[in-house]
Amino acid sequence: MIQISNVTKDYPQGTGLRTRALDHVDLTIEPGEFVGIVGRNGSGKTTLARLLNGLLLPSSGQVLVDGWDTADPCHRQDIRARVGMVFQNPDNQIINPIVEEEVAFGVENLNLPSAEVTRRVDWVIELMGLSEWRHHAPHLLSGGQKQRLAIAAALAMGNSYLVLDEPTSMLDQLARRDLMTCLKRLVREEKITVILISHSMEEVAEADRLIVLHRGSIHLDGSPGQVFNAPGFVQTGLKRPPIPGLVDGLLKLGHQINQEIVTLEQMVEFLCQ
Amino acid sequence: MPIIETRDLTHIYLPGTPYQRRALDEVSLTIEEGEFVGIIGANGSGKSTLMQHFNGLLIPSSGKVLVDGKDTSVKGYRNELWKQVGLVFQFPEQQIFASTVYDEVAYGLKKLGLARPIVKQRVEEGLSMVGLDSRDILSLSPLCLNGGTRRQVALACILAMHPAVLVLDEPTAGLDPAGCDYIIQALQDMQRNHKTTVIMVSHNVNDLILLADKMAFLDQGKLMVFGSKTEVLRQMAHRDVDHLLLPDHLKLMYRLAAAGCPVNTDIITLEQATAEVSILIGESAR
Amino acid sequence: MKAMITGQYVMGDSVIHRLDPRTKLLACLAIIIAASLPQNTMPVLLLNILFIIIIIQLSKLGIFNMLRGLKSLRVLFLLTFICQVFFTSGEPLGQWGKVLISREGIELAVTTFLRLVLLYLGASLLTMTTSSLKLSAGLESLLSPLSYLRFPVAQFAMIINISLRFIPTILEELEIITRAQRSRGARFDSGPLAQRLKNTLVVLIPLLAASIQRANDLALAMESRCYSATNTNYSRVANLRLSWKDAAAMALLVLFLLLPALFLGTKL
Repeated sequence: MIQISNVTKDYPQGTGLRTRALDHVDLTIEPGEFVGIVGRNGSGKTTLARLLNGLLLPSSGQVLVDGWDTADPCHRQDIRARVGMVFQNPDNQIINPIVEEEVAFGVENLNLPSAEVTRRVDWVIELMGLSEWRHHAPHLLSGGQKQRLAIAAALAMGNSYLVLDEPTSMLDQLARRDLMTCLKRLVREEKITVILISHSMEEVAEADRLIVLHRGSIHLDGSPGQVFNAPGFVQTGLKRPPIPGLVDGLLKLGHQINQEIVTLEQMVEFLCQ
Repeated sequence: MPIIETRDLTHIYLPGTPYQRRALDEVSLTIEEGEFVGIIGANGSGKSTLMQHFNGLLIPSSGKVLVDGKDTSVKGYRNELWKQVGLVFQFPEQQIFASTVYDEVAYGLKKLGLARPIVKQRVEEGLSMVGLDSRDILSLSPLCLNGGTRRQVALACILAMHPAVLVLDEPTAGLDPAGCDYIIQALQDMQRNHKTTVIMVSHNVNDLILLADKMAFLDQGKLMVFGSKTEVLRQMAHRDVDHLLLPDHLKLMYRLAAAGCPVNTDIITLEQATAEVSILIGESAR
Repeated sequence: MKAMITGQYVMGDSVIHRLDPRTKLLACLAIIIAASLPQNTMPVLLLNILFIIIIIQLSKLGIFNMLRGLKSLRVLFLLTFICQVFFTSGEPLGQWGKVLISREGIELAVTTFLRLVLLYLGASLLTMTTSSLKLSAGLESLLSPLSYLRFPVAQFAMIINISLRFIPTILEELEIITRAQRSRGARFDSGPLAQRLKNTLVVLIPLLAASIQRANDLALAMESRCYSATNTNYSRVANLRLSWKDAAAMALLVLFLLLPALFLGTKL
């Protein structure tokens, strides 16, 4: 479980002023959840993501990961082995010149025995569908494959939580779809807790829980259906994806329809009855 | 006379080597002056290659590209094409080099040989077109601005040059909704007020559908369809093509039609889709 | 462009590929020495180059591909050739006004050319048959005694690693930025030299800015994966094993590269 208690994060500006990126945020994420986080630029999403694995420390308040405090240097490695991070730019997070060695990088840093390293690397490469590319250089991979590589490299460390900070922003539609399928599989089959930050409303509509950040605090928190249809949603400057918009339109025309319908699949299922 | 015309345009990378790749395969299209053309295609469909033919960065392996009636394979003409055809690559903020926003936007204008007072005027105009206030920003260092603002500055660099044709590759990629709005607004202004021909390559079919007059769909180097919006969407609905690139409400219509439901697939907007679904529910309730 | 960049590691299973990286690093060093020794005359250098060509054949890299890479150095070759031929004094062979061409000049020009070829082929062989990680592991192992002198060996190896990883990426970025600036009117192949030099700034500055951003992002990614500068990567280095093939390679190396230099060089 990840617990964020009364966390505030300030960034110092040159002139002695401070920008408040997060303002007294309280948040609990249970294991196995698929959480989507959205918000406009400057709402604090990236700051929140980086607090989760201790890359940033709160100015006040506490972040606990499975009971460990991120501010405690003794547990920093443990926390980072538990909470994996995937960033927006696929290229700028791949350090090693060969796919297999990139996957092994994090695990090796944990100083585990060689046999264990090999076992994990094999498992995760298979899981992420990168077997064909195992001995290739990363620059030969497509954007979507690079992101899968980043996920593989994180998972090999034995993460139970995976935080992805706008992983699809630089990808095309097909790569996005593949990544979403991959994430859903990780949640369902591997029981990884996935925390996805995205600008794409269609993507986060697939999550179990949706959090909207606005000016450094949590504005809305609930199921995607609840959040998209909440009156406060429009104020945040975000746009609803088409299907909830369709549902809203139908409700206004007097039809009986479940507000929890947010994805295309759910809508098709509903209409084909 | 169309402002851009391609005739059987084929482009092959690294010909004669084992890494040879046919990026474009006999693409023929015509674009009239003042049109807003949207090009849809996944990575690897050849859209970036096609773009670079429009301003002479690339020349065809076979076939012809005519801009304003003249052949781009003529070196002299090709070297001057950048003045007429403004190309904005994906993530244009990665090209920023100057120490002030003014110098950055003025770069292309100075290359055009414009006089200083005109350069100043165009810089301010370019920045305001993308929604930036030049008073605040002119002397700031562009590399120190945030991502969305840098994108706006990079776009202003090309808009200020008043190109007759504006070609953009994913101009809204990676931006938040507010950032997207600024860019879209700027493009509409260019088309309306300056009669610029706009060619936009995008995955964001949602935006394209509302902006474009004509659309082209590229798949693995081949031009699958090219025509008015409704024509293209109609063809995409009937082909066995991956509808992935379309917005959810259109995908819904096509799925319902394929399942045998009596819906009109000629619609474009969400409101139209809502109306159709409403009728469908109403009818099935009876 | 992506797949075949000269000097970039080419995956393979040849006997050369499978040698320990330390052997190959030392071999490269030996080649550099052989190429630099002043007493190495033309016949010796030709012998050395022949030796290298045999190794290239063994590595299944394709001799023509490697020689094609020499094209990129043609400006260097031409300049040094001209300098040597026209500005070396000695037994005169021909004269054009004040410019003298001597026998020594021609000899020097040819041997210099051979040295450069030897250096190029030697370095390319190393980088094309050794993956970057093996290379940095080998380097780390060879330099490890220096850690007693407080030299940051592990970090040095990581620097090499990351540099090698990003060469293709940076080349791609360079291509894109060049095209983007050309679309704004920057010319790189014509116009006055001063202007063209200014134009290179228009490409270099964005590249530098992107690299700084990249360094920042990479640091975050590395921290997220528990990298620490004090944490030496033991498993990677420990996995290096010398075999009889390495010993044989070293022996052959000494035989063909260094012995001729020592014994035949001055005599021939």
